[in-house]
Amino acid sequence: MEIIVPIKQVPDVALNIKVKDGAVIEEGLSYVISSWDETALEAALQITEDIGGEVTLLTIGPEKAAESLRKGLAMGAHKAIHVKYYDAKQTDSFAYAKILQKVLEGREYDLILAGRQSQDTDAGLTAPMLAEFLDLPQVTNIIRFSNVSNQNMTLYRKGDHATEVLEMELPGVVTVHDTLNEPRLASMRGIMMAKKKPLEEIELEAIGITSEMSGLEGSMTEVLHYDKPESRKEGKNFEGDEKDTVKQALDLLISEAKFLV
Amino acid sequence: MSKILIVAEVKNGEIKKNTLELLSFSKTQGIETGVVLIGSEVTELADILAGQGASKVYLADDSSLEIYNTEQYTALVTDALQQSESNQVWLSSSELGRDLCPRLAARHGVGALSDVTQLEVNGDQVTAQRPCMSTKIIQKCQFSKDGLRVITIRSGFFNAEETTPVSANIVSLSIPAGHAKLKVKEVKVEVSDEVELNEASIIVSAGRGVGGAEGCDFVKPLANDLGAAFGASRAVCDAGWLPHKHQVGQTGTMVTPDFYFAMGISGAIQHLAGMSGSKVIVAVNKDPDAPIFKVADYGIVGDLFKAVPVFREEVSKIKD
Amino acid sequence: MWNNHELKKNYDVVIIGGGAHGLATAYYLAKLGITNVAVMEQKFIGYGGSGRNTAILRSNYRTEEGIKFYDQSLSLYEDLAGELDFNLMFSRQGHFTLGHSTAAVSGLVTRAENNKALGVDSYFLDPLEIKKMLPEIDISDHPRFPVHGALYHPPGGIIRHDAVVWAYARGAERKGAQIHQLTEVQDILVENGKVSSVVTNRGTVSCNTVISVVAGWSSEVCKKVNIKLPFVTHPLQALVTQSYKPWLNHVVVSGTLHIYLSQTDRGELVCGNGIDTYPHYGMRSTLGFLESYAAHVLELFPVLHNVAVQRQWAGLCDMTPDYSPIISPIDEINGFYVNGGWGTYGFKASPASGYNTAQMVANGKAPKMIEPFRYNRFVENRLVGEKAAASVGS
Repeated sequence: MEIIVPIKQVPDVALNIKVKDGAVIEEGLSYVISSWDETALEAALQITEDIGGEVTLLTIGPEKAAESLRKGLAMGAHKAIHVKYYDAKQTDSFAYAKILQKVLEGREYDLILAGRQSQDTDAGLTAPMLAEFLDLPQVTNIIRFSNVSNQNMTLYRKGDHATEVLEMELPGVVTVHDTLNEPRLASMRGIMMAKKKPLEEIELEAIGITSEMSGLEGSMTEVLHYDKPESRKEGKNFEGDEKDTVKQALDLLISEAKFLV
Repeated sequence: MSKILIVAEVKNGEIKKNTLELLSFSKTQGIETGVVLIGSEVTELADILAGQGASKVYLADDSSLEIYNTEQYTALVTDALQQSESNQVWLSSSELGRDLCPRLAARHGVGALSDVTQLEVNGDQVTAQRPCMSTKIIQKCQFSKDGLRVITIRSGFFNAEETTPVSANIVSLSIPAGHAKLKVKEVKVEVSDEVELNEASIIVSAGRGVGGAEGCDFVKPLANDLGAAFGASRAVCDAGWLPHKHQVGQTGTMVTPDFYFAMGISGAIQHLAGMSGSKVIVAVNKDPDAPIFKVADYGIVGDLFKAVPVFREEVSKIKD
Repeated sequence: MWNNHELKKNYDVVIIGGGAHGLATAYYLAKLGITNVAVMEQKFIGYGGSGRNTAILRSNYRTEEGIKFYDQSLSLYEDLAGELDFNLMFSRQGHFTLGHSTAAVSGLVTRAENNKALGVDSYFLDPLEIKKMLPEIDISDHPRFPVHGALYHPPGGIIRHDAVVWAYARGAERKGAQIHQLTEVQDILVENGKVSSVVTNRGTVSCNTVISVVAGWSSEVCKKVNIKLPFVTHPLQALVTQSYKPWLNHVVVSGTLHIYLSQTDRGELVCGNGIDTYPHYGMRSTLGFLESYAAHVLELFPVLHNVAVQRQWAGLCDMTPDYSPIISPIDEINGFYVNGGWGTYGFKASPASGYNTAQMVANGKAPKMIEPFRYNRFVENRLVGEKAAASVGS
């Protein structure tokens, strides 16, 4: 099984993120592989360990994105493709999906396994858009795989009201929910070997991506500005005997907040 | 002239609240709005949509459509878009919407704005606010090119008004084939009469503070008393005290109810990201420094095992 | 364990920096009866080097001044758990410094002799003797830098670094000192050549004495009183692995390979590097460190190839030209003391640093033990050269 895992290097959202004048402050951000993508990579590694094959990581990003590829290689991916992209700001999911389409055209693969969304935009658009551009079936939000072979697989999708069990003929596009697995940590040997694994570098021009197809020009949507969410107004705290505090809180809940029992 | 097409969602033979919210909102914008209604045995729901202001209902009622699937839905909505000549399509930010929106947008060669929490429509110009980076940041964004506007909108940000059904102006869509390479084998519905988290206007949630499965059973009756959905923190679900479908938070269900009762929840970042959009938050926790108190409108520093019975008693007094 | 307090209007002594050194200073000052003391910590106690080091203790230094000072520190550490009534998880497991060249071996032998002469237990081991005590080590000639020998230092070991911080904090607080977290010193006011007050984000307090005990941030604090000391701050990176069954019973250091490692009671391997080569205040972890560490540690211990890295981090090191600290009154400003320049060797010095700093402040004069660490030794050309013994790989 040849699996492509598209990954994105994103700011670590577990850390504090600050904005100033409508933009996110770059200073102090730490960059990591989007955690949903790590789940996809772990799933891909488990599949190839099970039935054989190779996992190829694919990222579109600046020089420093290569670090995320090497981390993914250290976890166990077999090779990586780095599409050099210096103007990542103001690139929307549509433009990313178009570039991914160009990279993947003419390549051999059975499965594209992606995170359900990326940790920076939380948009969840790129993978299904890519599926459409490549004319492949898609199954999103997977919580389990079974009967995986080189021709097809059974996928358990978390739908709105039920778990939907689908059978997909390959090739196809699958996005994973993060309850699927616990991504492995890189081992010392993995970290060391990662440097020796093939890392293909591609310039945008080489795959026919012109300036009109990238950045703001290639995007269909744009971000006007970033802001901190409005903080909630200060709440009221009650301390003391629960018999009194619950009553006090409930009274206000009904009188102020119009809570109807 | 703008025209909106809303993709309706149906559950257990009823139009879902999130669809009604979209219709109510579109009415306030004074823009002609059609609805595409897809499902099995859903025809009679068309009148409810018309009552909510749908100018036309594009109907696809077929047993093959009982369960959502990307391919047929994309084809049907595309058909409805062409017939209605709409230039905007609004979906709910549900699992259905999340799957369908990008596929639909790509098929029409346009981008999309997903998981929107505020929307300004000014003719063809659409500006939206949406949370990103685990809800730590809000971005304001817009469509920057001409073409179809595909948008998914989070539930709970507009109020759905009650209306009476009127006879719908129905346009029947022809049923397309499903994807040749993708088959739904079965659907495992976890049968339950519980209120669903993403539909609930009141949620009572249990956190690590409940101490175990018995603690969950102790809190749950309060949810029943209030007609609320029963949620939980990740810690509770990971520990196996409750199934994962109860999990509220970024990796569980993102919720925005009118009232959220957090019982013994300390407020981990993923949990806060999933519920801090609630209109009113009530929290009970022993630890006065718990992060949940930063978002709570009414914080009770105390023992949930003492507080829950008082809540139940007071609620039953009020009901009487 | 300690309380939050309002800032008082006046303190006898303000200690800037709530790390192990600052808190130890407050504790030993209190033992000398000086209790109107505030420790000002801009973040939370142990945020800096005290929480970011690899918790190795030893006294096998090179110079007489260094050996005596670190030996005193180690003796204080021995009794510390009892004195502070706090389990510090001190594990005296012995400490190897590996040599990978003839030159390195000669340096290690010199250190062994210097140590012995001053009563510190250290001796040289050949590769076969090393192998007996560290069965997993590769002493063959396959690695690029084969093991030629080691300085073995039985009293060396590891301790739980957070516990040391907490224990000193509790000890100081119980004796009357106040610890102010999230309290950033923004300025130090000097009147007529004498310290008069410090300005913090929570208000201004007057005081007679200010001690800067901020390690990596020393240059920044000294700038506030226009004193320039030869500190250059570099980051140093470390990592911790997942937990494994106990197999490594000693601390192992290799200067040539720029690495050191030990195993905690919980089973994690705590691994550190030399300082990053660039001066920087950023505490960012890099993939380069991870890659070079993995390559080097596998040369020594091939058995570690499957060990998974749990987490990596960085701390700041305020390096001095001779790799020894500066603990000194500053002659130009009455009442201003500096305790800094702790480079990569600060944590193990915490008790002796605090003890002697307290003595210095109480008596207005540095005790004999720390006289060699005066700030003007650099102009007087009386360096305490510890470069060979104080750190790895630089």
